[in-house]
Amino acid sequence: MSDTHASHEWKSPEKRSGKLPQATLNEFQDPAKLEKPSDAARREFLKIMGAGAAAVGFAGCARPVERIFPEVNRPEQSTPGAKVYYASACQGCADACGVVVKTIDARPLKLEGRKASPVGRGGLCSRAQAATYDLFDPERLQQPLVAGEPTSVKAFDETLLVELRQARTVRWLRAPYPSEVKRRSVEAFLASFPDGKETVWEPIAPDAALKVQELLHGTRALPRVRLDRADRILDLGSDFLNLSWSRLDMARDFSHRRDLDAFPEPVRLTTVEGLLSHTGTNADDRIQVRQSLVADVGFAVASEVAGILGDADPNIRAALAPYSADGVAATAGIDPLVIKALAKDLAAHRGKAVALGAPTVRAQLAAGILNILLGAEGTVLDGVVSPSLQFETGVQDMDALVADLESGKVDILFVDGSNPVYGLPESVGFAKAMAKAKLVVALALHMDETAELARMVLPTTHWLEDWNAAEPQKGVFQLAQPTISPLYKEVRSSADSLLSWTRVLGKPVPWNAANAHEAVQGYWKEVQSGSAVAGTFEAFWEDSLRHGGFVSRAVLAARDRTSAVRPLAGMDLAKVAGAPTVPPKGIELAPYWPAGIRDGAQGNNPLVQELPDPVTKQVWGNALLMGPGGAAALGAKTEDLLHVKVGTAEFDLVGLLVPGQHKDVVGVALGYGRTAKLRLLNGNPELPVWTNLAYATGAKGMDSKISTVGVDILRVSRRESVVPLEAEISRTGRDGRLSSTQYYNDIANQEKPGEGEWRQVAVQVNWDEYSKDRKAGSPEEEAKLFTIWGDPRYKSPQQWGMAIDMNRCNGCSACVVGCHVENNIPLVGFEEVRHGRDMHWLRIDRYFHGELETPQVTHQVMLCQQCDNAPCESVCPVLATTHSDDGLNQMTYNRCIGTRYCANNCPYKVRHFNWTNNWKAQGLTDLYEKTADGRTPNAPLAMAFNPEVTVRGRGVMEKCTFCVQRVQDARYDSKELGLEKVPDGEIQTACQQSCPAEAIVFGDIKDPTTKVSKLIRSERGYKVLEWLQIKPNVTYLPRVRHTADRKAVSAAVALKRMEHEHEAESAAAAGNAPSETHGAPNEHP
Amino acid sequence: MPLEKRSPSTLAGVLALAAVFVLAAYMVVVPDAWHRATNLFYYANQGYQPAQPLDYNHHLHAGIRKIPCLYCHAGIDRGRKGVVPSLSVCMNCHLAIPTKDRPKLQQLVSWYKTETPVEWTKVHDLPDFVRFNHRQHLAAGVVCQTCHGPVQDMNVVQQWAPLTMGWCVNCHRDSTATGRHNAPTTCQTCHY
Repeated sequence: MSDTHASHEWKSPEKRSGKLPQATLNEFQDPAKLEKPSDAARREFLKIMGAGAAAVGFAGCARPVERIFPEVNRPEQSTPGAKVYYASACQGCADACGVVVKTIDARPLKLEGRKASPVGRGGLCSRAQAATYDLFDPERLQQPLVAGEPTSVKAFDETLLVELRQARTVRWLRAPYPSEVKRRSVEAFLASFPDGKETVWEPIAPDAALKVQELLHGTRALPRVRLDRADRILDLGSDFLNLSWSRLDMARDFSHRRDLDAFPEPVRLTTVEGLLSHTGTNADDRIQVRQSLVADVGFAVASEVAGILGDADPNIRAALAPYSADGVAATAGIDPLVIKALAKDLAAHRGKAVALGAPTVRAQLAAGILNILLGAEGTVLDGVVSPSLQFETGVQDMDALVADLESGKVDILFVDGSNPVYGLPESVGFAKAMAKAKLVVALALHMDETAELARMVLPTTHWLEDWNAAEPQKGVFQLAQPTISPLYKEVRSSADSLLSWTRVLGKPVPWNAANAHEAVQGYWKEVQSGSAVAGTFEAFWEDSLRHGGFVSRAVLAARDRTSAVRPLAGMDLAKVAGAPTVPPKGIELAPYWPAGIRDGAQGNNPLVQELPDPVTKQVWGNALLMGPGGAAALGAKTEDLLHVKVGTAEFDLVGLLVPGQHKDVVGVALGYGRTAKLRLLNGNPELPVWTNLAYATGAKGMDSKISTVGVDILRVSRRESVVPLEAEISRTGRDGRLSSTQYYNDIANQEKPGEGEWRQVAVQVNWDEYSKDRKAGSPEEEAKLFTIWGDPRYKSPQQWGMAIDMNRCNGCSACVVGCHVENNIPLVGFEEVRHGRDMHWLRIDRYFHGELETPQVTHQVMLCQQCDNAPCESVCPVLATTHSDDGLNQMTYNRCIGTRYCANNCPYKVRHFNWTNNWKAQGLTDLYEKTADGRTPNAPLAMAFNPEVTVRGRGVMEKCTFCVQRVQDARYDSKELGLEKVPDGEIQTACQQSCPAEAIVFGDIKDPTTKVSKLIRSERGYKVLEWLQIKPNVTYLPRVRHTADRKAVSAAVALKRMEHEHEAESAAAAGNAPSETHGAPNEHP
Repeated sequence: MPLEKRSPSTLAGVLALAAVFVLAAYMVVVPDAWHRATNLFYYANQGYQPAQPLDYNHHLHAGIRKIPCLYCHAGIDRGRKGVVPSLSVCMNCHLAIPTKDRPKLQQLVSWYKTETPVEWTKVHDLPDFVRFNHRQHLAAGVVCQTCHGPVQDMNVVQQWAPLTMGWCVNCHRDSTATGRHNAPTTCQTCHY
């Protein structure tokens, strides 16, 4: 029966091959390591009992005295405990998506995407969802430092002013953000000096894309990509769902194009890559080649397309001349027909196809050339009417800055919200060059690697405390307003600093603004006049604040309609394309930017560290990702400690097997191995907590004196960080340790590896089969057996259910972070996740179908299914979990006594137990817990709790509640308005709201007209483990793979056929008629 | 001599002495011992009447002056919490009321002028795992006195009702049964 194992989905390659990493099998703690009650508590207890007065025990029942401190002057119309929403713009990265910030009692608690914003359109990424934990991070800098001595902003300014008056050469380094306010403030400040220049840089900035756009079209500007107009997408290692500009819009358009109800045929995404990237898990077809040959494959495809379509520009023809399908295929070791077929398919969809390239110049050029040949300009790409302005153009680049620093002529270097000491490879020598500047001033949120080397450090505000304005795409103006006053007195936003310094130096201040607020208003006046908006400025300002920005109707219409094409610039492309690559003989190490932690800036945010990577599902660290071929060649398996030599650098890193990775490529995630002395990164001895989060891999990092979270590969990467490096890998013979969420709670097969019954959980079918039969591959309807429960009768006129479309979900995991923030879910750390005790109420299970070398991946969002016949409810001895009158499975935390029978009974394993007092372990239940010297270092992070949801203590079970707090709120609102039912769409669960792909739909399933009801009634919908007859209320829609291989049959369909044949054989052998239960009508509503 | 060899009367005497000792210890050690012993709902703090920093008299303001509850406690119909008014609400009237020879009013005004918040002791306190929502009850037309008692007759506020879960659920059940309201008794109404 091992064949059927291959046909089933498998959650991890280790489960399939039968060798699960060891430690993850042990859920129960070693009793010797359990928390011991302190001796003092025991003695106290004995003393009381010894007095013999049992009645004294009642003293414990006296309730605590609570106090109320109302304000002296309550602001008008503010109600304590009421929710207030502000529209703003995210400043977490240069995309500048629109956000809505929910605040309670003047504390921002939850960010949601702003639907009306053309950039973002209602979705929000995991970075923005985690932003409130950055705002309330206890390790934010609270005071300026001059030569290590804390001081006040006033004193800092005075000290700095002396230097400013003498400085001649000043450099300002900042992260990109499309803000005219910032740009002009920096410009005005730098104009005060004879030689002042600004550099805009960040590790993930698409420098290569900008260079190539300039090469092709003459201007350094990025086009707006409209993936919903594409029928074919070629991804040349770009991982666009992760790394593209406006990636939320990319995700939304891509998912919309995969909506099987909206389009007759879904889009086809083909990825060419060596690693299994996040985007690659969503691909319909993957061409696996060495990472170093990805651009070459792109050129080869372009060459074929040019041959088919003819009439290519002479520069393009010259660039493509050295490349041919046969030549590149031979080097890459693939069948040339693959390239030819791909080219034919793309050419057939001219005008509806697009190519996206990796962040290297050659890959971008290949993609750019393909786009020109395929007529993507003006159709899928808009480079004219409303292109992306998210990454600035025309500023001094980083290399020039380093040269200036090296020459020693820089008097003052300002580093504004940027971390180049970590973010640049060692070969650039930034730290050494920076040391040559006479003064380095860091404007930073944390004491990061760069701030540590700066003589003067000025703490900045978090962006949730800042005024700003942005124009992420031409004609789209976003307005960012603060949602809380700066938490600390002695911090100042960089915009405020710039304006005040310029004023003190006596130079003209943009808009004559005294602070950022006035500057933003000054800019907004220009926006009003520029867009010819009638009326007073005050009215326009109020309106813009309420809506979070402004975009004129004319621009919106033009964006929709445009087909404008950018002309070619006529530059020499052949020089850039170069000759075909000769790949290295041995293994190549491909660094990549991971989805969650990205450039590592949020390294001190536990939400991000504990977010499982969409591909590897690893938390709290990176690993050396090997393909099946590579692992076999090395003789290594997951959790082996491997020794890596890259150039002169050597380090140990734990190995992790990733199916679908090329045999000659190993991958390591960038963004890890930070050395800043922050408590999550390598321990801040100041803070007396985080012992449960202690991270110990047993490995030796590059700097063996400090243990870091993961290993820093950025240090040894090339200037274009994702360029593959030659590496030597060997086994050390020792075991490493890693923490991943996929080695336990496997509902597809809960037996030991290689054994037992496999159940179909995540359905994946091919488009060909689906188009013929919409029920292809879905679990067969089982006959209804005798059940002891009657049909449920709900008193409420509404019943809640959910539909999750796995074809739209791309696995980005923003929903996971959104759920954490909304529900005060604790984070447990590396060790606890290793023991299978993660607290993700909502998790994304990753299932592979097919072969180890060529798997297809499905992301399945798994959460409490709110079963009507819930197996958890019937076994709770104290009725802590019951069913509500509107179909929700309720969890009453105060009744729970921690038997954990409910979690045992749950077939989906979605219940999570608080094995330790998780928040207390992080010092957060005691807001005012003092250190020995009387400080309260943990205080701010407790402000991030959502007061609408209980914070659970130790010994209590918890699980997804379908955001019952939102359901209750909406029910109250409707009742007050006199409505009998809550209108469809009023309740959005946190996961649904954060999903950029609109994959999750929640609503009333009793009402047949709601969006969720329509999806539930879809022919292709199915429920997970429905045959258990527990009546889950979450319907899944399968992943439909639009593969080019016409002969490919989905694993699910193959399995069904195999089972039918098997049944028919055994029935024929036994001489009986075929089973009657087959094909019985499904009696479930 | 070991205990079991003594006479029964001595044993009784020792036990009686122990009982008296326990009772004395109880009266001394346990706070509010008498009230605990005599009040069935003591654990629920019925009758709790803590001293407050400001001698605010509801009988005077709400009873005699007939100021409506929601004048000061504005916002209860909009949110979950029972809103204790800020000093600025007091000053709506008291800025115009003479304070000569009235030390308590002088204290009030001085607190306002020095921006010192009043540290009230919470009288009606529910455990943290109960999420009571005022808004719903006001919307349903439940009068303040139903749960808070005759506050307009109280010189010092005390907890008039037991505020136990059983007490709440009884009202929910009764009002739904009589069709007067539609008060849910499902767990998630208050516990989530």
